[in-house]
Amino acid sequence: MNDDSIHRLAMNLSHLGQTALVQMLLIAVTVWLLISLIQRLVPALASRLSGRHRLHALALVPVLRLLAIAAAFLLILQRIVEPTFENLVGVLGALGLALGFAAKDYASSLIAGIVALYELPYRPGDWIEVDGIYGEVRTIGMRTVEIVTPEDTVAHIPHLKLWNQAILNANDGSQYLQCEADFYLHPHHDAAQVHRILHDVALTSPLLQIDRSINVIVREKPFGTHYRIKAYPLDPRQQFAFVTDLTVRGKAALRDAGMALASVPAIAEQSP
Amino acid sequence: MPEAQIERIVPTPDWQPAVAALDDTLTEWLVIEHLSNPSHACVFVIAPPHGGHGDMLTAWARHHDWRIVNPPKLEQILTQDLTWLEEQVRHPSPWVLPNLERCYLRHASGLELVRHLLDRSHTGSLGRGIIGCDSWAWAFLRKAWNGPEPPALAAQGFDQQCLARWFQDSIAGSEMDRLVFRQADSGAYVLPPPADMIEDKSIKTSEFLPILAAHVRGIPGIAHAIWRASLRTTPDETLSDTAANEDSANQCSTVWVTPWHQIRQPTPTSALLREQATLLHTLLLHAGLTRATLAPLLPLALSSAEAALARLEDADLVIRHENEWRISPMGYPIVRRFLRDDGYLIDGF
Repeated sequence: MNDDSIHRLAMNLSHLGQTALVQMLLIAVTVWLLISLIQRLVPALASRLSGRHRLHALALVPVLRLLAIAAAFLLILQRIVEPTFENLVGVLGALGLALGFAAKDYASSLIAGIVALYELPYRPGDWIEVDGIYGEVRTIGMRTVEIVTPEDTVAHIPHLKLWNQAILNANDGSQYLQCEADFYLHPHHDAAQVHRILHDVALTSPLLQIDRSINVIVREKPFGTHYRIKAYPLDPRQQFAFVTDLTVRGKAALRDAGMALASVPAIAEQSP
Repeated sequence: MPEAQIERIVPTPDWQPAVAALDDTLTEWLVIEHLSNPSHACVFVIAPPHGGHGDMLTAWARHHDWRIVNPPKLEQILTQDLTWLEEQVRHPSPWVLPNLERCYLRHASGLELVRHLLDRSHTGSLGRGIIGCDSWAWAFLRKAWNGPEPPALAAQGFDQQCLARWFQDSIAGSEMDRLVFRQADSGAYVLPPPADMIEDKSIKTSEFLPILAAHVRGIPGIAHAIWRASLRTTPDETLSDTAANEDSANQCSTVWVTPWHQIRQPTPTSALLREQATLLHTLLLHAGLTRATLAPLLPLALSSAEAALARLEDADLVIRHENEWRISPMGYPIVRRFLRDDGYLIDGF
């Protein structure tokens, strides 16, 4: 960019009229209203849908918002400078420099937010774990992803984490989320019978996604036998109710079959 | 329309035609004395809810004097008591089990008995028999039992022509010969008019029956319930007097049919359906359950199950029939659509 183009850009900016300022303000307000509407309307519509349709509808929110912001940016830019190549390079360069120095992390989060829309490490409705925080993605903002933990706490996690942290996604845009329920039994028992019982416990859960496989994993431990049911609930949001149902009915079925649960003496009891 | 008049025009279904149709289908199987494949000793008849398989097979068994096998008691299912099954083996005569869906529960202890029954029917050790099963229960049992697909029959769904013939044939009494069925808002004929009027080019035909057949997925019991609910004695006020009175000129009596969009159908909120989806699904998988049996099958206390059933009854989605709760005929299409969209296991009909 030479002195001449910088001079032209400065002239353009200094000649911004009152009408252009009003137009820019109107564009900004309209887009802000549009984004607010999208952020309320689409999740409300999605909540009336079920299964995968809900997840697809929710995933539209950040994309629509990005499109609205991009359109507003271009419309405003047209009113500030004549949209020639030199002017655009000048404005974007100045903007880049300002952001790079003044708000490096903020800019990095914004860019990561755009990358997140392309790479889809998380979408609204996904159950993710970042930095030890687990929850359901509620909204994907420009700078942060908002998740709700099982304790009903809202956590805002900057997209910045995307660059150097593992993002664990339990259902990855689908409605299939594997759950596990653990049982520990006294080692003296018929393992094949327990395997059958626990398989049927999962099969008969009213919350089971029956089209997915049910697995019962058996491992011998020093204190007893560890059984783990791996199965899928109908909806990822039912995961805790599903694990509870498996555990409650599993314990009842094992008790009815005369199986003794493993019990490890408390450390305090063992100490002299 | 008064109930007595409805009962004369749309009486309780007569299963004799269905018995005859089943006879035709099973002719070959019935005459073979020694089956080369023992797994063909038992034939399954699968029908959707309100498809009437239980009544139809009971009528068939009585007609052929075959032994009717009653389902085991609830305690026998849950305690996995095989004496019920052993009793069946002791009788060498051919048998009919009209309701397989009454032989299991979706409970960790509720599958053993039915698995033994299906295993034995597959090996032929139960002798020759016919097993009727609800399509939802069958969809679940195919997941719970690992045996091969047994020979199964299903009645063809009722299309527009079948429904028209069925409704006309079931009208009782000779005085019904000149009865015509017309749509209350347009005067269009819902069932074909008498033969001498068919030539009249000005006669309009209603779209009621094709819509009904598609809405009920060809299930006769549901079509029967909606048909009964749609009949009335007077047309809409908007219908012209000329159109309304033209049948008296043709010496016909008119039964008016409520237009499809005016029929009162359940309109549950999606929130209610979502909250009670597991309960509705459980009722469908068992073709109806008592209140006391329902609670142990769901992660619900008995009082919560009662409250939920009351809400669903208010929304016309469930009905009580002889102490059992079932999905109502009018509610079934809505419930099925919701459960399918929500990823639940559904039947193949």
